[in-house]
Amino acid sequence: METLDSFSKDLLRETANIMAQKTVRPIENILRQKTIVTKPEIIMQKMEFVADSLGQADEIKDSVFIRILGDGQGAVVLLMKPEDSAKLLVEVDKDMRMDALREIANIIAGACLGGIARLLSLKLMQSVPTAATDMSRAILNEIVSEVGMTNADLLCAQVSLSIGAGKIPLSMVFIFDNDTTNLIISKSKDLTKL
Amino acid sequence: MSRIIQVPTADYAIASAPDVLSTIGIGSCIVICLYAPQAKIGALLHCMLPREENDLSNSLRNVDTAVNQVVEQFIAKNIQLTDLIAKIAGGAQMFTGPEDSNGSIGKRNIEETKRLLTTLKIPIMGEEIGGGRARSVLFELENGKVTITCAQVKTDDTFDTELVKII
Repeated sequence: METLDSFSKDLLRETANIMAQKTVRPIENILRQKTIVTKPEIIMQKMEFVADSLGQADEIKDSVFIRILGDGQGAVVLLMKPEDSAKLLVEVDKDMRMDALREIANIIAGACLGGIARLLSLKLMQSVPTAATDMSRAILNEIVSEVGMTNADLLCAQVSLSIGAGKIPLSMVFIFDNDTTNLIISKSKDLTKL
Repeated sequence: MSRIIQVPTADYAIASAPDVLSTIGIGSCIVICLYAPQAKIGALLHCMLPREENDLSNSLRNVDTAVNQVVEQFIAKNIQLTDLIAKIAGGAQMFTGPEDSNGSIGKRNIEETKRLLTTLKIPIMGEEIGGGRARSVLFELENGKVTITCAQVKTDDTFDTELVKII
């Protein structure tokens, strides 16, 4: 974030706020539970620091990875502790739990990317979601390696949510490569001129 | 008194016996343990990508530049390439999906590591590579032993550490 001017930082924070709000409604619709955003956060990190800035390296997480395609390049990642996904999806058969998480991530990604794409007049598409349960650092390093092959600085928007009376935490992370970050800033600046 | 030195992603550490080098959460990344058995000096490298891709911001991120940098450190300590052996771990593919035309990052990391070590004539004495699980590595410089562990799901759905291999 140090390399960005304060106006660009504000624009990115606003983009993160929009994405945060866009995550809430689909979750409430699917799970029929009140959901609140506990933390929309923007970080700009070199790829090797992304994983450790988003969580403890050896913490086990259920994760869903969706690649962002089109005018922008990046990834959407759903992260949850396995015990939390078990609580959240208590009515879902254990073998089907990751399929359910994949579907939830797919719907949230669609709502968020669709919202941002409409706002900024971009074409953003998403890949088929894939899932894994393992150590947080390994999961995120593989994702940023896939996304960040040619760019050093990645924009990460982390939206932390609290779901239902049990306040079950769920985290959605949106990672954009450097070119896409510049595109978001440029398109956002165009909007402010209207 | 031995120290356990944790090596972060895209970094390396070089130390001597009785120290222990360690890194956790290796998925598609590759870990290269270089060891000089006579001197009991070793290095652990935790690399993310196979080759330099027009990005000079951190050369330790890439297998090719990181290995060359560490080899120079050994030579500065009067340890020659012929004195070194290697053990490697990692290169998994945790998310299965359509690979790009070059294959997964993990697979490319393995290929580049083997190509480079062959070029440098450093023999690979042990490996625990590929697959779909994250690993953690403990490298004992007293004897060159590399212990590899993974997370294991227990019957009550909690997680434990599973010893996978000692190389």
